[in-house]
Amino acid sequence: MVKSEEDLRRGANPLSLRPVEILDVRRETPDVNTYTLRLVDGSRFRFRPGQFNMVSVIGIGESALSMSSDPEGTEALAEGVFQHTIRVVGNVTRALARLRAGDRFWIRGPYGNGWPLEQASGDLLIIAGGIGLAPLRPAIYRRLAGNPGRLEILYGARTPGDMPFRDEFPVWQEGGARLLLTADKADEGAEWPYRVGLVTALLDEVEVSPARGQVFICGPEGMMKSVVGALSKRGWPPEEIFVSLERRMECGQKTCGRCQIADVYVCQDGPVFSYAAVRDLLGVDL
Amino acid sequence: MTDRAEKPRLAVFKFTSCSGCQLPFLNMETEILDLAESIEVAYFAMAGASQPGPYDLAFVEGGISCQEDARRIRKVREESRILVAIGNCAVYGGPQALRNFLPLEELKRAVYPQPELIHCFPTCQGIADYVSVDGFLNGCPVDHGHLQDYIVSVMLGKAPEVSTRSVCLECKMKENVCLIVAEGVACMGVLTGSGCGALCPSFDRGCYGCFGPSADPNLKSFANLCRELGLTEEEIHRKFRYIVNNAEAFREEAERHVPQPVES
Amino acid sequence: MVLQGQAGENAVVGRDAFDEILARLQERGYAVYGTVNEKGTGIFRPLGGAGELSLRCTGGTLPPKYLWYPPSETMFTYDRQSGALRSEIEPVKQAVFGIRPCDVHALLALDEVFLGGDYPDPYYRARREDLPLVVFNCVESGDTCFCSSMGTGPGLDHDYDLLITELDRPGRFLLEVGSGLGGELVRDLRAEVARDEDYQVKHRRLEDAAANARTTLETEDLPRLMSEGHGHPYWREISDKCFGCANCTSVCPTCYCADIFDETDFSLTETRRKRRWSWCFLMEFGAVHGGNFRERRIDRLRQFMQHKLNFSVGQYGRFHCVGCGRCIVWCPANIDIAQTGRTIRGDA
Ligand SMILES: Cc1cc2nc3c(=O)[nH]c(=O)nc-3n(C[C@H](O)[C@H](O)[C@H](O)COP(=O)(O)OP(=O)(O)OC[C@H]3O[C@@H](n4cnc5c(N)ncnc54)[C@H](O)[C@@H]3O)c2cc1C
Ligand code: SF4
Ligand code: SF4
Ligand code: SF4
Ligand code: SF4
Repeated sequence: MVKSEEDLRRGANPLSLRPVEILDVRRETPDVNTYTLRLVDGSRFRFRPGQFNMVSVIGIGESALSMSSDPEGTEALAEGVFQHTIRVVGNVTRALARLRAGDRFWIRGPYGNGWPLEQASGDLLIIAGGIGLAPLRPAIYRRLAGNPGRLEILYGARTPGDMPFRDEFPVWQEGGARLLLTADKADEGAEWPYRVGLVTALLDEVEVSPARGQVFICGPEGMMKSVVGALSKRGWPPEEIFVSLERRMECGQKTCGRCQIADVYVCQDGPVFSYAAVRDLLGVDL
Repeated sequence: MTDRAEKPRLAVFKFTSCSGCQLPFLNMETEILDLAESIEVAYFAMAGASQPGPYDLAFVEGGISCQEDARRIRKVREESRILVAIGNCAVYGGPQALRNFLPLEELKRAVYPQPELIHCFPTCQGIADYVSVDGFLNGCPVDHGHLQDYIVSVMLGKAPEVSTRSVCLECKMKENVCLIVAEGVACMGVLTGSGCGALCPSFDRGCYGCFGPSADPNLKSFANLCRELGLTEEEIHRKFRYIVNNAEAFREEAERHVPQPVES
Repeated sequence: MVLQGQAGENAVVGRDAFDEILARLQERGYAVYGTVNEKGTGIFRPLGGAGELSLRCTGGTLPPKYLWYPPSETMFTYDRQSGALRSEIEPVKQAVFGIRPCDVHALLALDEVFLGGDYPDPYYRARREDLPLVVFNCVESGDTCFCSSMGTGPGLDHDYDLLITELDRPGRFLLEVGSGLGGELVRDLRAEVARDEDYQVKHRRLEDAAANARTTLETEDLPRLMSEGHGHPYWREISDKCFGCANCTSVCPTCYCADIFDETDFSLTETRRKRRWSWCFLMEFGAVHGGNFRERRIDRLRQFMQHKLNFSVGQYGRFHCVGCGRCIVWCPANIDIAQTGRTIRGDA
């Protein structure tokens, strides 16, 4: 299990909430917002790329949401800020969408293991679908900051207008990342110099080789399954493929039982798993 | 919500029904005082409120059984932002939907001295057959807790969630001894959504299914169980043609157990 | 002899000793629960006197789990005006008189779930930390008990404050002291010295209870066999009968799954964040936006039984089925987890 670095006192109430203040809300797409946040007590919120918080709007409920910012970025270090990037789908996310700069909500976390960046010392292939780019963004920034290996990012969304972080794409490219984009369908009349089709169609253009790289994948489960299948055919060993899974979660603490898949708990054993570890679990109906 | 003008306007309407689903509102005595702080009861005939629309949240009791009902429910729909069917009648048509399965003219003659005065549709249906409905709260009568959750959810701006628990779970939490297991009673709790607090099983009566089919009712297995317990096809038929007779799952199950026609 | 009141001591006592033990627990401020014969079964109730206690193991409806893990509890309250959160976790003093070995094993399984990680669950801990257990060994197996198969009974030799085994003459009990607190509960009590023969009787009775178990399940290699049997046709057979009513999981002493949700009063002044039991049999259990990970009844039924007889071993190194038999007794469709295990492993 992964421990938050600050709050390790045995006996601290793991379910108690901390208030955060919204410094900025940025509309990424018609249904996705990025919130820039700071803990109200002024302390720096530490986390690892790929970890998540349980986010509360009290009265409405709680949702598992990944951090989407660079945990070691200059703003994080200087001002202790962090970000969530959230797609509006239901009660909690809709309530969050009603909030503005200056408003508060509550969090507990960080939870989960996060992306195995230290292990991914060679080249890195990142494959994201839809809102799945949000949990990968911290990993992208960490890689851009340090690792000399190759970084390729394959990203697909419903339409170009559904892609968050679009204005950062050039920054990633300048930083050395190779970015391959695709949309299920291009927006009517808009200019779209990239591909149209599923993200799997981009795999033929990948330059990172299975011999010296890792893959991180996050997106809808159906998309991850087909991507993993295609990668396996291209010779990627299952130990080098990492997926971030999504399940219903109430606690984040291995006690509510909701995120179990066979003998793993997605909340703490994951959400990031090597494909080798979950291959058998995802194949059958569980 | 201090500004009176901003209080959401609540309405309660009655259609073809026994009025029993309005009682939970009246029984909310203490809560209703709290409620009045934050909500305006704009229309509720039983409580003497009869202001015109529009309404933010309208609860509808009763099924649609005649032309006048049909006209009025369309008007209520137009005037209401959120329209919620409460109780067996508004959700499924109610106990009176039993007449849907019998010839209307014969029934009229059997019940009324002057059958020609009765003008009604051949069936009584839930309101969703006539208008779009935003929420359904089952029960015969509806559960006070479900109503309260619904109202509070709307005030907080969240979509209300109704649990998919079965009556059995309420029964277990009361530490009742299961009637199927211990008494061989064909209790419908295993098929029925929760809300009543397992009222009947707590008094050693098998559940009658008032809250309608649960999220995934295993009707076939229940029919087999009934047979094992010695019920005839006719008795099984009657179990599903009783209080909640017009919910699709129950209606169709009743049809699978057709009583033998009596030779006359 | 007179008991000194030390862990490791033992003696033979009569039923009158129960009154004294109960009285001393109550004097120390514990709410004491025990099984009382009611509605034809044993139900855990707050005990007035020890005379109410049922000595026969009946399993009952709900296990005593609700004492340390209540069906619904408030985790904190939130004042919507001031924005203040209040979480008051009060230690709870409860004791169980006559808990059975299977239920003690179930408690130990829940301890691992709630207290085993780096962040122990404070709500559970507040109810668990001070929880004296007076254990009755089972000298008879119930029809659906298979504790001897699961290694959780009929006798217990750890984690008790006091352990009581009925000897062969009615009214004579072997009393064993397992802790300092257990000692305090019996200090200065007059009793007979326990002789070797008494121990022989205890062991013989426990062996007989195990040997006469009418329900059994071979556990050797069970998790692997259950994994291999994931597609066994028997799952279809029982899921065709299953009502999905969740009676089974609701009476299981090791089920721990939960919902966490908010409850707000009508005046919108206060929100309570609550935790309540939930079960993998509910449709809502695996529901997420746009889908459900266990929509089919067969998947929900399999999750229950696989969790107990297979996955729990991978998670915690022990079976979360303690063989109490409650789910078998209370299943309205006559579905039997032990029978399922036997069928899947090919022993049926
Ligand atoms: C580890 C993890 C990380 C995630 N990170 C992000 C992220 O960075 N950005 C983002 O937009 N979304 C993310 N999600 C999905 C997000 O949790 C759901 O979209 C959100 O919970 C929906 O809540 P709601 O109340 O708006 O929807 P409702 O449909 O009203 O929710 C009802 C209940 O189901 C739960 N729920 C619904 N959908 C999901 C889901 N897909 N996964 C888990 N629980 C669900 C809710 O928490 C709530 O308890 C993540 C999910 C997981 C498990
Ligand atoms: S008595 Fe009825 S409601 Fe109660 S558990 Fe049995 S079947 Fe379910
Ligand atoms: S008690 Fe029996 S019928 Fe009900 S869910 Fe469990 S296995 Fe199925
Ligand atoms: S699965 Fe059944 S037999 Fe096993 S511990 Fe739970 S209730 Fe008892
Ligand atoms: S997953 Fe099912 S069987 Fe396992 S503890 Fe939760 S409710 Fe019980």
